[in-house]
Parts: sequence; C-alpha cells; structure tokens
Amino acid sequence: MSKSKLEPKTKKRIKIGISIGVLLLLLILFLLFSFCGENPFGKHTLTIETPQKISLSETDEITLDVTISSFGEAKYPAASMSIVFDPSKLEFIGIEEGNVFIRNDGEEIEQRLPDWSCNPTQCNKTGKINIMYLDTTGGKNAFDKDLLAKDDNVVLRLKFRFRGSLRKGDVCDLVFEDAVFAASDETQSLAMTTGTLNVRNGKIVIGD
Amino acid sequence: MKRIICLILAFVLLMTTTACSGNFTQVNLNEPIAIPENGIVEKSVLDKVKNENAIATFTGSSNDIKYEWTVFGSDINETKDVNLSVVLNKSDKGIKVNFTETKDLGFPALLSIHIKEKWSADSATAFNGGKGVYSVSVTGSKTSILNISVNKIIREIEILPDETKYTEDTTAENTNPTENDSVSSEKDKYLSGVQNSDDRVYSDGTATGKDKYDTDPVPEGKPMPVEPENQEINNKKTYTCIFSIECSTILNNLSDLDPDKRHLVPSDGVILPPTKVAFYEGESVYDVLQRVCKENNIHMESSWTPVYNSAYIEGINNLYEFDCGELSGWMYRVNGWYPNYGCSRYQLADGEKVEWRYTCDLGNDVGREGTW
Repeated sequence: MSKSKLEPKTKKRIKIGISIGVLLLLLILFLLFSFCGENPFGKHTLTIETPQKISLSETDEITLDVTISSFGEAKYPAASMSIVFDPSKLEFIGIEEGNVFIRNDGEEIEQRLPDWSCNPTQCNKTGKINIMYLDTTGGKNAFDKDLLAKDDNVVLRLKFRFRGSLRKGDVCDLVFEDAVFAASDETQSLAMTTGTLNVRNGKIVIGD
Repeated sequence: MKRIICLILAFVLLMTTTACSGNFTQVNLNEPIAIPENGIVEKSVLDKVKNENAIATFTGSSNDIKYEWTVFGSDINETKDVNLSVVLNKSDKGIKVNFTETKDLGFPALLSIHIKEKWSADSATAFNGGKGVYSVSVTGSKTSILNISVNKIIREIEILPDETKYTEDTTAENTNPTENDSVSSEKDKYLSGVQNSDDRVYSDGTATGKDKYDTDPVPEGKPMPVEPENQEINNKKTYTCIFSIECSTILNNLSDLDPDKRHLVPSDGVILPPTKVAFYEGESVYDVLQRVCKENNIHMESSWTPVYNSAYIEGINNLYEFDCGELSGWMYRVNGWYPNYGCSRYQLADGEKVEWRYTCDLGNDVGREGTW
C-alpha cells in the first residue's frame, strides 16, 4: 500500500481528529476570552457603591456599601480609610456591618465581623470620615482573601442622613482621600498611595 | 454520518464564534468604561445600561484633566450612539468645557471633572456667553470634583467659582443700588463698611479671647468684622455678589412648624434663588439683605443688638426665629463659612456668595461648624 493512498477509514479518522481539534481549540479560546473578560489579574479595588438616584420625598437616610474586589496573598491585621464628604449636605450617622469577615483568633472555621471604629461627631465637624480597624492580637483577627465571598464583598456600610439644604439635582461626592489594608510585611500592604489599591469614589445623586 | 458531523461542527463553530465575539464587546458595568478614542459610546452599551437598570461610569481624559460621565439606566429613554468625549482647558479663573457631541444625549447624565488642586470655592456655575447655564456642585478637600448635571448639550461652557465675578457681565441682573439709595447714603447704625473692599483685614488666626462685642476669635484667613459706625460707602464703585434665601430645613421639620405658618414655606424651600446682585464698595451683608428683600417684595424684620453691634435678623418671609422649634432661626453663610459675628459687621467683597438659611437645629442642619 502506497503512502498517498490512505484507507477511507483512516481518512475519516483524520477528518474527525482535525474537527475535534478545531472544536477544542475554539472551546479553549472561548474559555480564555471569558476568563479574561473578568479581569482576574486586575488590581484590588475598594469601591464606594453609587446608589440609584434618591428622591428626597421618599427618604431622608441612605446607606452606601463600601466593597472590596479582592485581597492579595497576605493577611491584613489593620485597615483604615478616609472619605471626604460635604457635611453641609449630608450628616454622617455612622457605619454598619458589612459581610467581609476576619479570622477569630486564628481559627480556620470561626469567623466574625470586624469592629470598625469611627467618631461620627468628629467626622461631621471635619467633613472627613476616618474609619479604622486594628487587630490587637498580632494577626489572629486579620483580613484574609480566603474569607471573601465570590462577589459582593461589603467591607462596611456608610449611613447618612440628608441635610435640609439638599435639593433636587444635587450631587454629593464621597471621595477616598486615603485607604490602606496593612499587612505585617509592609511590601504586601494594599495602599492607595502606593498604587497597590485602586479606589472608586461614590456619588449620591438627588433625583425627583 | 459525515453530514451530521459537519452540521454539528458548523453549529458548534457558529455558537462558539458568537460567544467569543460577544465576549470581545462585553462591557462590565461594574467597572469604569473607558471612552473610546473617537468618543463614541455605542447604542448597544447604552441598551445594556438601560436594560439592566445599571449605573454606568464612562471615563476619559483631556489635557491631563480626568473626567467621567455617570449614567443611570433608569434615566435612559432613548438609546443611540453618543459621543461622550469632552475637551477641557484651564482658563484664567476656571475650566472651559467643549462638548464633542452636537445633539442631545437622549438622557440626563452627570459629568464629573476631577481637578488636581482644591477648587477655590465651595460651588461653581457654568456660563455660556455670560449667562449661567448649569449649577455646578463641588466636593473635595485636597483635590476637587466638579459635577454638572447635563440635560441639554451646550457646546461650550466655562466653569467659574461662584465667588468669581464673571468679567464679561458686570451689570447686576436683579438689584442696582442707586445714587440716592437710602441704604448707601444714610449713616444709620445698621450700615457698615470700610473705605475699600480690597482693604479688608483678614484674620491671621493668632487672636485669643473675645472682642468688645463678644465675638470669638475669627478663624484664620476669614475677614475680620468691621464696625458699622466706621462705615464709609463708596457709591462710585459697584461690585456684585450672589445672594440667596432659603428655608428648606423646615420641610424636614414640618411637625415643629407653627401650623399657621405652613403656607409661608415654599414647596422647595427657596424664597430667593441664587441671584446676582450689585452693591457698593463698603456695604455689609445686612445692607444688601435689606435692599434685596425690598426689591423682591420679601418681608424682612430685624432689630439692633447693641451688645453685638449688629442687626439681628428676626424674620424673613414672615418666618421668624423659634417658628420651627426652640433651636430655629436665620443664619447667613458667605462662601461656605458661617461668620461668627453679625451681618452688619460683615463687609462684602466682590463676587462673594451669600446664603441666608433657616436652621431648625442651631445651624447643625445647615452645615455650620464649631460654636458661637
């Protein structure tokens, strides 16, 4: 049998093989594009989620989520953020719990919500919300990427009451001035100033 | 068999290609979307924002100034390709904005301009041909964000701080002091001023203790009070300022309001919207308030308070102190600061923004800081 004259069965197998190969290639490409679409290699981003437009006739309070997209490999026993707002338009009432847990004294299973601290009275005087978390146990109660949910990781929530000076069409910006998730090894810390932590500011827009 | 395999392969190929191409144009509305070089945001993207009732952010940059559009899906009625690129240029006093889009967007959108330094006032106005077209809100302590709600595209605007007088339009739009205006010519105890508005003395923040009129030290950088009896009005020099009167805090405290006064409160709380008014060099906030109220037929009642060497504003628009609770009354704010002295002792300077605001909580509900 000469090489140029392959048996029909062999030809068929080659065709099927090539077809399956192309199919697999396409599937791989598809998966790759899907994977890249989610930008898994992007930076860690702390976001003040902009809510839908608010109607003053419906409510005089609002709660905004502060979310984190991801953490790095390190553990973060301390965190802080400074958020500037306009106290003539908004009264900062305080913070509420989110759903990002910390380790509870280093236990793998036991988790609890962090005790964020801030002083609303002082925040309203200065127009700057300073919030801090400090693990005083030397890292046993630290933030950790393994404790993040797959999505919607709310670090904490900011609660405001509208001042009487607010009117339809007003915009209240909530602007990060600083944000840090500090690791014991400083080089692994996530910080806005060093560019290792992205931030996205939020807005409250007063609608009808 | 061959045909079946070919058909299956063709189908899978089609599906995969479609899925892949879909992913290439996939827009993640949870992330800021960069405005393309040609500025065009496609209809399909806006459809997605609308259908998902999402809040999308489109970012761009012009001459090293970053800007972003915030679009609410709930606001979108009509979708089409829109050009969201803008050209930003710093001007002498503000920022010039040129919209590339020539037609209306089909939805209201919020344009936020991020400037690297602190804006020189707590609010701003966008002008076109000398006319104010948009009110601009300002936020930030070290850097600033200027927000404009764009309902209708106006090709070219210039954003100026509110205390800056628009140089091409020095004529007062609402109020003009006249030569024989009693406020400027009479020497009564309510009037105050010094020879030249440029001569205003500013606090260096080093003073301690109260002055003879029981006034606490004036914060650093703020104008020191003047005494009405030393005033000298120069009616040859005219300046302008922005003046407004509002009582929107009452709307949040209607249960505390004297029921007989309910009809006096405008539905939006605004008694006098921000209005450009003229004044003579050396006049005080009180002088201008008197004239503005008179010319706009707004009731105003005041009494002289010797201990503070100033007029005290008891009521405006028939809304008096204590009408809406024990802590209610009128306050004034100039360029975002509540002076710690009476309005007869505040000598106005060119381009300042004066707001009379009704408080129901000793100023805490209108953003006053500190104590008297």
